[in-house]
Amino acid sequence: MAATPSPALPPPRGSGWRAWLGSPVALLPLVLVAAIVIVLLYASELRNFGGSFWSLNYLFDPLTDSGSFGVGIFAVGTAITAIMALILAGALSLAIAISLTVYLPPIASRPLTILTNLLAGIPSVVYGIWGYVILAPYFGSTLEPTLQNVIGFIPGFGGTRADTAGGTGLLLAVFILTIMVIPLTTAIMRESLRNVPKDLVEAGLALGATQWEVTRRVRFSVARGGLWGALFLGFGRAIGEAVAVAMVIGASVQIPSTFYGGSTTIASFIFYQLDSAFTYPSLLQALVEYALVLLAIAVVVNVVGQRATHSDMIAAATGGI
Amino acid sequence: MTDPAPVGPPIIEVRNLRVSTPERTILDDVTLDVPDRQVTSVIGPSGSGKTTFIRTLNRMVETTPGLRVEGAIHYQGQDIHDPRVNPVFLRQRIGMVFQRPAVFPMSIYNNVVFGLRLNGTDPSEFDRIVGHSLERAGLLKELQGNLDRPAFELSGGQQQRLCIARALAVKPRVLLMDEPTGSLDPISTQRVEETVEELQREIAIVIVTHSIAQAARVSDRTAYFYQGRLVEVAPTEVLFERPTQKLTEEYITGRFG
Amino acid sequence: MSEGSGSATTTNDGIMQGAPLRHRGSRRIGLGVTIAVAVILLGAGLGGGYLLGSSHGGSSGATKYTLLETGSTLIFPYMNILGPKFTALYPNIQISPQGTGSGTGISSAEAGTVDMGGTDAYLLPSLAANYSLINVPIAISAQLAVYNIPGVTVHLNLNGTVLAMIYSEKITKWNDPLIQAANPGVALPDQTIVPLHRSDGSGDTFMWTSMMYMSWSGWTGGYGTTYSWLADQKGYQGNAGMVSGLESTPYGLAYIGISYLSEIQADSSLQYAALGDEAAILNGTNPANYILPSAQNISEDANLALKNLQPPSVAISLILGGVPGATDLKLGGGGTLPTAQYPTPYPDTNLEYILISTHPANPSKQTWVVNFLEWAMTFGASYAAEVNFLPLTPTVVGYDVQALGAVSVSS
Repeated sequence: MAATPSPALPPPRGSGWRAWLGSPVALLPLVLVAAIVIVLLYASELRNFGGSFWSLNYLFDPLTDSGSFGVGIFAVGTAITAIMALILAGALSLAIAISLTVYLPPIASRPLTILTNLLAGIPSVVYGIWGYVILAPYFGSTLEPTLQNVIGFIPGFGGTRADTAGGTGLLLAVFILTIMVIPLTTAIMRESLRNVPKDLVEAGLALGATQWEVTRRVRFSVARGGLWGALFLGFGRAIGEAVAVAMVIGASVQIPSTFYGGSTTIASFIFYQLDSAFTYPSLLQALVEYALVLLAIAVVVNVVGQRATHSDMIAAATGGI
Repeated sequence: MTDPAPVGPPIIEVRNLRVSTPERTILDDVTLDVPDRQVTSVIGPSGSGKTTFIRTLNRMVETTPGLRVEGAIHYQGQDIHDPRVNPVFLRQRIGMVFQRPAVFPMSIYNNVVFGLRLNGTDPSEFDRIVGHSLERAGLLKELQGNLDRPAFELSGGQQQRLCIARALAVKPRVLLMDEPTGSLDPISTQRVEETVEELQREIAIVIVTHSIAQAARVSDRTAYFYQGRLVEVAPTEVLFERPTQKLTEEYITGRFG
Repeated sequence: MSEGSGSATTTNDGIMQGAPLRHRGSRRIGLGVTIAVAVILLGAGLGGGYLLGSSHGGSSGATKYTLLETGSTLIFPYMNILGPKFTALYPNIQISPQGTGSGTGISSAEAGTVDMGGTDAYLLPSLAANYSLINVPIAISAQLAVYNIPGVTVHLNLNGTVLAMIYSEKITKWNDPLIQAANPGVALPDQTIVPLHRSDGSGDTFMWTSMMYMSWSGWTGGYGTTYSWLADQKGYQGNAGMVSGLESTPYGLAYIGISYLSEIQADSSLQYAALGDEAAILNGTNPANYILPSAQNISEDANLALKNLQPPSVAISLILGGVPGATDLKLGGGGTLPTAQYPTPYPDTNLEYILISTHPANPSKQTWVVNFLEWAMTFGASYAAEVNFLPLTPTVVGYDVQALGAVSVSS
């Protein structure tokens, strides 16, 4: 301690030009988000935000370029599709992630991991095309009429032949979204479970727990943040998906009485109305405001999801110490 | 090498144990008795197979893929590899504590009752058992009234003693300890050793340690492993004062390892 | 609908029903061309080829230009045919089209990011003036009312009023008395009609809702490239989406651009309707005739509509035919149609437009845009039939030439 420090010590890493450059670069995402919000707010002129904007009432009259631009129906359609897809994808992802990390030997889990990662890399428009060209005719001609016959007594699964015609609608949109969300949620859940310290797992086994009991009581507990984070980030993906949903949801501005009926989401409505909107200024403003609503939801969902996942990583890193 | 003079009745009998991977042999021809209600320490240089040895005793070795176990291990006269023996039940009778304190991310209380929830203990018994287990692990005075705090908040030594309490809660007959003080400071080490001493007349303890001094302090018998073989096992004072094997002598006098 | 349906006749089945004008194979080639063009465009964009394209070069000394077009998917196949033909004549000029939708064609023209914006629906002249744009018609197209009724393979007789009532769900069954009356002898099923609409912003929606708006006083919500459809009706992306959607929707009804005729004819479950005459639309009466979308009937309608326009304007819908001064669409405008000369105009007819700037940033490049459009509406018009389009009438060409004269170009 008494020794004087060497005067020739190099400056700490990150000082100099790197530190000087580093902080503005780090701020870039924040600046970009702020710029997007400001430009959108400016473009929308906030003309429609108000009582009717938050209603279920959407009606546009192109002749007078005016109307009632309630976001309600689109928000409900977004919520229904995203939440249903998330319930299905969450359950399946959890099952897949547990199989991959706990039960399957590496020789089987490795190719399956690659496969799920591959699913994540498929562009959404490919899912949309697949859903539209292959699945929609099957849903409309076979699956949905069968469902009507078998479980038609359950509210939401009955309806008429006209409801199932074409096969597009809520059910197909939920199906496609589920498949699109699974790779993301599976990847996060898998990593969260994989990050559970081996010590804790062994400790659980050594106390006489079965693998499933260790998974349920220890792995879930340690990975809780990551598992919730996966659901939030999956939700963020589901609400933001425009192209694939637009292709298969049936593009009806309604909350349908059955799961076969057409509906629409905020993102997909923006997607397929955008080119008309350049001809109708009031419609464009409404779409910009819908985009702002979507942005706000997405930011909240992603921040919550990232934080949950991040806290889980910290828990995993410090687990057992 | 056989065990010349078991002290007291053995609770675990190991005969001709061999553990191997396709590439190499980890343990070979180990025959050893673990006496009941005594502390047996397992010493030896790194890679001598100590940890693998105690992991065979409660079949934790099976959680590592690719290991082949041959030979016989009897717990209270019962072959533990008998297909009718459920390793899950076996591990409730033969508890284990690891080098790193592996507390679960839950409250202190829930850590202790973890095993009780698994074996169907009546929840009305939990409070009594938690108190008793923490007391045996020397933690009750320190933690009284704070049992709902997250176990993470405890110090490293406290966490390790919590792991001991957690293992004791299911009333095991044997406690396997794999370098339980390996990651602890001297004061915490001393507290864990005190706990071991308090337990030694109640249950059988097998403790793996890198510290010859610790083996001398806490154990009744000591087994010396070298390169996957049991070189010598004897009452601790005998082994340290009059080792019969040259390898043992070299190790305990610090000439290598 | 009180008149005897027996008097309703189907006339001039013409060339449309005969040999298909285009084979599926040629559409595949079209798709190939589309992909090739997209790849080339991408490559050019990435490699800086766009800059090269507008630089001076070649031993001839002529400046090289790549003329960018984007917009209507109906116009896109036509542009793909015209472009290479024009380049063969003028090797220094490349035409680079993209099928992105009429709305994008309009917005890109407004933004000045393209040289030509293609659209099925005209840009309101007042809006066009704001951006120094003019509507330049380059061809005549039409729209079909297509249905998928198992067991019915004939051309049904439908009219604007009935179609409007179907889309308003005032008529819900195929065997509704109003439909049956116009189709004596056809066994119409007691099945619910499933109307399909376009989900994207579409010139076809503009045409279709215009016809509904003019045909039936009960039609609400006006007309436009977008429309607030009844909530339970399903929407489909693009004309191709309408075709495949209708294929998987028994008892469905859809409106589809005529350049998809070969797809419709290739599927035996699909058939298109003859539409009630324009006099009935104008006067709110029962049609005397039902007209099939033959080339002759479509061009008759365009001729009728454009013959006596005063003042000259091409920003019109052709649905009301040649009502003098019919630049504004109002139901019940009265008047009579001079149908003596053109007895069987197909009502659901349309002009296809290219939007160009009158005050371009690069006048010498704009010279070539004007050259190309003048060639396209005259000599190039011989290729229109390849996509089931029809050449412009002389009246419209005259108007175009006059309008193009006002564009700032450098000589």
